[in-house]
Amino acid sequence: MLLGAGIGLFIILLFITGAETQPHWPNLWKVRPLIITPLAAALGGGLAYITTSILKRKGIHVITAVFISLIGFLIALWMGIVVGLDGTLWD
Amino acid sequence: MNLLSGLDNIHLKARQNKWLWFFTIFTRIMLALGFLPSGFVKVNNERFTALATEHPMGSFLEAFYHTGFYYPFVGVMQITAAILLLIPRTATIGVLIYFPIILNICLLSIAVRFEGSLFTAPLMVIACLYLLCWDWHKLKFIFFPNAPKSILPSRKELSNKFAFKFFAGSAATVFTLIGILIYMNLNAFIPRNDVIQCNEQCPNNENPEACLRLCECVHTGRSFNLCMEEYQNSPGTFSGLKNFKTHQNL
Repeated sequence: MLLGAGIGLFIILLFITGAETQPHWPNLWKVRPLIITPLAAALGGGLAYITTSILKRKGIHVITAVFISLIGFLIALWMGIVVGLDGTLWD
Repeated sequence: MNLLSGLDNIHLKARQNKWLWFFTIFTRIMLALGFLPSGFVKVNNERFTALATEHPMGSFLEAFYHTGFYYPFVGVMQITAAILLLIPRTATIGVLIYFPIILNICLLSIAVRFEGSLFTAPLMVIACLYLLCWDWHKLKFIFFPNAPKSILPSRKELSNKFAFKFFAGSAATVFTLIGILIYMNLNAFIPRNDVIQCNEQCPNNENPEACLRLCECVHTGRSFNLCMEEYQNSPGTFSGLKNFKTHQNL
């Protein structure tokens, strides 16, 4: 989860660092993506960890298990970026 | 058995149950999700609702919005509490920040009879109380400074037995709250969101004209208690189908 949150924070920082604030955006618009994206990525990371453990226990090959978990993590990360930047950079 | 050891035993029993452990995580996530959106709105200095300023709650929120840095500060505290709640190590401090905020919201909702949060806010207060009890092993030193340190069971030692009594009690709490709200809707005056919705409760009232005047009064920005007083002093108000009660006898 911590790793997921770190990845989420890093990616969202890439987006919002240096981004120009439009006049109709709130002054503190960066707060929401900075919180939502790492949270979503942490959730994705947690789910990926659980999925990998379950799949490995069921005898599925490690690479397949990691690949499936990674897809879940990327979806969570994507959703986090969209929700975080909705109304600002996403528009 | 003294009070402390009795409470410690109840706490330990709860802590040994896997279902309650899951329920606690669920409660923490739900409480955090409840505060994040409202916190962001305040941090961004946006208006909280589109309620008219004549409405008692709308009037409060409008004044709240114009309090300068206090408004975003509350938002920051809401977001802080939500994030701290999500992290296991900081969940206790999170709930300690969360509790006074939600208690205020709950009391405000009851005071102005704002139906938008009459159901959720008391439930959130109860959820906070549950989390405070869950962390009894940390908080007990406030009440019992010399209390012995509690030894909690590890995750592997948790029992899988379904906590039937606890969940039945939780369901009973929710249904009791629903019952109270239904009773309030039937017997107490609720300002609703606008004057048209407010007027809808008047035909069944013992004094429809006074009720309509009450709605008009409440939705023109006058003091809620003053309006209620005027309503109660109207001739023919005290006997009949629906006797709206004031705060004192609600």
